[in-house]
Amino acid sequence: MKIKDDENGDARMDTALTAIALFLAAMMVIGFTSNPVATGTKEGERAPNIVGKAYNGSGWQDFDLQSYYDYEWDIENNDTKDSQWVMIEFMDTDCPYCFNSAQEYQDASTFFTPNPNNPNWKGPHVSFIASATELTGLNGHDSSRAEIEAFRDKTEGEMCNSGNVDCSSRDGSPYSIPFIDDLDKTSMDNWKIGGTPAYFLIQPDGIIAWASHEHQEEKFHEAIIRLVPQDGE
Amino acid sequence: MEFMDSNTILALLSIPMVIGALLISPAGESFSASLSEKFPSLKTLRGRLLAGSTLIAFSGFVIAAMTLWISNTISEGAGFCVVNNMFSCDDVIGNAEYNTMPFLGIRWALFGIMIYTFFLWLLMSINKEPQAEWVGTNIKLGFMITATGVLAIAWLMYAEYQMEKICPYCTATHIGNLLLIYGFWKMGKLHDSGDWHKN
Repeated sequence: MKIKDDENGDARMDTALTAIALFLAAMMVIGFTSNPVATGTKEGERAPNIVGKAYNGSGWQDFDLQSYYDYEWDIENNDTKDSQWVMIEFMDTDCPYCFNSAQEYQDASTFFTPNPNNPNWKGPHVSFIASATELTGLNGHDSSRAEIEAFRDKTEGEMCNSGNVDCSSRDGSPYSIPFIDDLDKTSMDNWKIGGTPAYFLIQPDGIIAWASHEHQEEKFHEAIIRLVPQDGE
Repeated sequence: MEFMDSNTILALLSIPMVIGALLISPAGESFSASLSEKFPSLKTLRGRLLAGSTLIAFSGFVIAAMTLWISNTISEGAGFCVVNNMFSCDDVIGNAEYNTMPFLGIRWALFGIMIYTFFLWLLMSINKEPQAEWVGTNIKLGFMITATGVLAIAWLMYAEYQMEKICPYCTATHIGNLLLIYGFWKMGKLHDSGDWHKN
């Protein structure tokens, strides 16, 4: 009887080894034939996708961050001629810093667009995007799509900057970039962003090249100049 | 794998599952009649149930492994699946919101490989020692785990509903689990009746 029990034990052990070998073989094949990139908001990680509605000046349109990417792009060959980089700002129209730095972001969105009349930028197009959220629990931070539109277009009738001033009084000209509706903080939560503004520079292949929370001392436009290859580099 | 599209690859990987499903079905006896000369174990119901379930588990294992590979490939930025309006495994497997298990945080694809490895172990051990005392326990364990898997399948189908997309590869592994519920249930019935040992 004892011998029979031992034989049974061997059957289960033998097959367990076979099953483990199969599992390991599968993992090795997968490991050798693919190179996964983690999704996250640290530099070197794949940016979490953002899907929703964005205001472009004429109305709220479908938005998909992945549509900006060029997966054929490779940083090794510096082939940036036809591939765009993406700079995204997570902001709140009631955030005082976002309100006061609006002109800086708008100016940069114009500057980093290839243009024969702009000899100072010989790099690829950098698409600027803003994701507008509503930071809850803060006094005066009640936002809406109408407020986002007013902030972007500099139109009157909505109160920004903690609800203290009319949105049209912000510095700078009207934006020409899309503003994503993130009033429910879905993207803020996905990207694990604690406060606004937060900036991310994304490579054409969707990998985060620079994140403002990892470089407190560097401005977003300085990061673009440092990281985005220009002609002759 | 550019010489074949994703649907063709899935169809090829599903062939063992289809053969396994036929073997464990009521039509298994007639289906296996021509094969039983070469594979004598198929002459018995126990043999057909074991062979069929093992083929299903093996096919499910390979498809689950393929799903993990697709998940990795998507993370690199490449697309893999043939896409139309409703069927798109890239959109489902690549959705960071739904492609990991709640609480555990591991990817569903990896969990799929692990669970199919476990099913393979159960079935291979029964195959090797069908008259052992622990066979009944293994069959019950297999049935309970595959039946519990229905909850996971329901959750994943809910996720697909939310995304308004269907992932053919994921669906194939779900079908494999459902077939194994039937396979283990039939084995359990055969074992409890005592006919298991007569075969």
